Amino acid sequence: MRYSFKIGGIHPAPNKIASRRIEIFPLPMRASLPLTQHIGAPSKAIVGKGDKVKRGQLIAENSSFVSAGLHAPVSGTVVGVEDIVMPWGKSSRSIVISATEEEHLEDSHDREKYWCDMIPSICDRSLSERLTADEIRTKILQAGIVGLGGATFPSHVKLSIKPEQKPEVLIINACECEPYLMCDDALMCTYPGRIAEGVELMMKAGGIPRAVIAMEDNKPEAAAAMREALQENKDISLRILKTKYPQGGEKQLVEAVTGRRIESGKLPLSVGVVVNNVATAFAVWQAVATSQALIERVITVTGDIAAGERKNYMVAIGTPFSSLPLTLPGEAIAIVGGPMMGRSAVRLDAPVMKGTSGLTVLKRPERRQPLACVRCGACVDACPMGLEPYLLSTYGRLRMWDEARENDVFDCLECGACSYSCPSDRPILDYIRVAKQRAKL
Amino acid sequence: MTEKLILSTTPHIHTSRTVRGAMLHVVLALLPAVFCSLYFFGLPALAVLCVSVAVCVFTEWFITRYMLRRPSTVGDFSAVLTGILLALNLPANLPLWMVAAGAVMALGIGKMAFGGLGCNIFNPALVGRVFLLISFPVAMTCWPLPEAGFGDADGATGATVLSLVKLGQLNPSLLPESDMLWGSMGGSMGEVSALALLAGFVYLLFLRVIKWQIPVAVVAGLAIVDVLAGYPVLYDIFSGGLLLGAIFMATDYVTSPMTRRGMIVYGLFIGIITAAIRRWGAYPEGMSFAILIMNGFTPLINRYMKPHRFSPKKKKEALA
Repeated sequence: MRYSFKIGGIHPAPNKIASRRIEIFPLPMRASLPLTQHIGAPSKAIVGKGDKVKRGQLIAENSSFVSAGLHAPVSGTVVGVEDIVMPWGKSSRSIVISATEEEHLEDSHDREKYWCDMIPSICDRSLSERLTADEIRTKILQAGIVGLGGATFPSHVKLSIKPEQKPEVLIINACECEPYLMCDDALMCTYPGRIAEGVELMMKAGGIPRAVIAMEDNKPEAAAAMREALQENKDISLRILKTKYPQGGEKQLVEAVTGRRIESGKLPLSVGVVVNNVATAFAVWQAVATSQALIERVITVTGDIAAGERKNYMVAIGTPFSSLPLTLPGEAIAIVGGPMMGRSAVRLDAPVMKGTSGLTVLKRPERRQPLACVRCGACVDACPMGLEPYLLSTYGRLRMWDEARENDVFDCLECGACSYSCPSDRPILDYIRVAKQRAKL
Repeated sequence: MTEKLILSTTPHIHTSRTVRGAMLHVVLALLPAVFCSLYFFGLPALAVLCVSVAVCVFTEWFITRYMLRRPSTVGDFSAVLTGILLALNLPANLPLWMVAAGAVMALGIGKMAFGGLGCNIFNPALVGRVFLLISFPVAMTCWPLPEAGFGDADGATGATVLSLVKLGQLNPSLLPESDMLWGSMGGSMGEVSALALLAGFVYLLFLRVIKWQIPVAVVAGLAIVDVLAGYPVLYDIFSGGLLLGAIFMATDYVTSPMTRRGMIVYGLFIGIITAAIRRWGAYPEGMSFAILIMNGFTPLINRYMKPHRFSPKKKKEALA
């Protein structure tokens, strides 16, 4: 019997249509690195215009505990610390590095060697046995690792757990419940052994006795690869869940795996659980075993583009989206992330960031006019947080902030299940977002 | 990449389900019942059906076009559905001008006066039916006897089983159950064949157009009262408009509660009120009244029957 979370949920077409092979994408000649790529205080730049930097060198440091460092993804010269425009039109202070032909060739050579040497293998536990929890945490901190599932919460903070908080289980989120996206799937198919070692390191760092790698039943190849890598490992188990969106939501995942329900406003640790993304586990392994900071990640380029262009790439953070080979299908929506929660971009000269899981290009949809709400209850049925989206949306539209607050508007995780399921095409989530914004004041 | 990028808010994909689709599925689910009523009541039934649907659609179109001056909404098929449901709730030999008056009432007062689809409090088809029942009680309770074979009804009329039982002229436990299933008993056009209605129910459940909670709760509510009052349960379930109401009228999206728990409460009370009217009320049948009464309680049910929340239970919320 395969389980899923109990309340709500929807079943959009999975559309996992990209190739599962990870292609190493060439390093950019010019990389832009926003100082805010994580939740918490922005990183503080420690290089200035004209400075020479090496690939992997720290260029911005933590400005407080809940913050993350930033490393140069390419060797080169700092062109400046300036405001660059993000895909959604807002500008963000960034370090811009430009490489010469020579530096580019040298970096590329090193990088090729690095990835060629990384032979997938079964889990080797010696690494986590050799190091202490503090040492591992320091390595994670120094590598600037943040949650790679999209929330970008600094990982060293998440793994700084006091023993009295009694962590029981580490859940590795490998659901990838967003339609189209496949970067975690590809990573698990390619480096299952390394991921398992990364999980071991995380368990040690957080003092967590066991771990569960949770994925949905639409990834049989990844499941087989992980199962093989975990053969001799008793502390890490694999859990296959029934596919349902948004399974990757923290509260939904914890319920699907452990049956425990996290009260609103509380962290998974309140029920003895720590949740981390599978790509983060791989980054932790890279940081500890190979001393490579978080300077590249896997992204999925997919959607309504030519079949040959739908790929998973290992790209350097800071690479502009516009350098990715893809032909837009005329008027299109370009989404940074997946179609359910990803943000639609107005320009593609912006860089790939730590939290970027993919670029989904969709044909311009036929515009359907929102009709009157027929009170069918589809949104209530779909909401994974047990809210009444139709009601919250009405409160948002009528500026009834108090009522919205009373009806738990802050529980909304903006998964979009309500707007997705509405047969009248009403912009339910848009009004709920307004209510969430204004109810705070 | 110089092509135009379009900005949109999340989620960027949507379900293919539409209101129009849901309405069409309900219409399809009603086809077996429509077919049965044509089979048993012949041409007069067809005339009632056509007049009802045509007048419903025309009324909605006329009001949106000339009174509200908005784009017409008849394309969503909800007016067609109301027309069919109203027809199935009428005796096949009802004068056609009465059918038309009921249809104008259903759409004009029952639906458009409240602001159209989604805004009405009461089920429009039932508003039309109850209007006719109160205005023309004799015509509305003079039921032609069903006659197999699409024939022209020969004018034989009689009371329904429910009214005969009410008047003490018939012992319900003596009725053959197969008659009720197949439909060879007097009654409204859509009440006669339980099997046809159940087929529609299975179809709607299978396509997830409606949920099982309301119909099952209605039947359960009725059964509870029957058991307590010592009435034959099966007879009560398969007679009158109970199944038609439970499956197609009480489940109307607009006028029923939003949560599954709310639906159960709503359905139970419809069943209980129906049984109470049938046993102790002045009318032989109480389904229409029961549904309309509970339609009125739907906002209240929505208010108190919340879905399961993640936040801890709050102490007595202030009644605003």
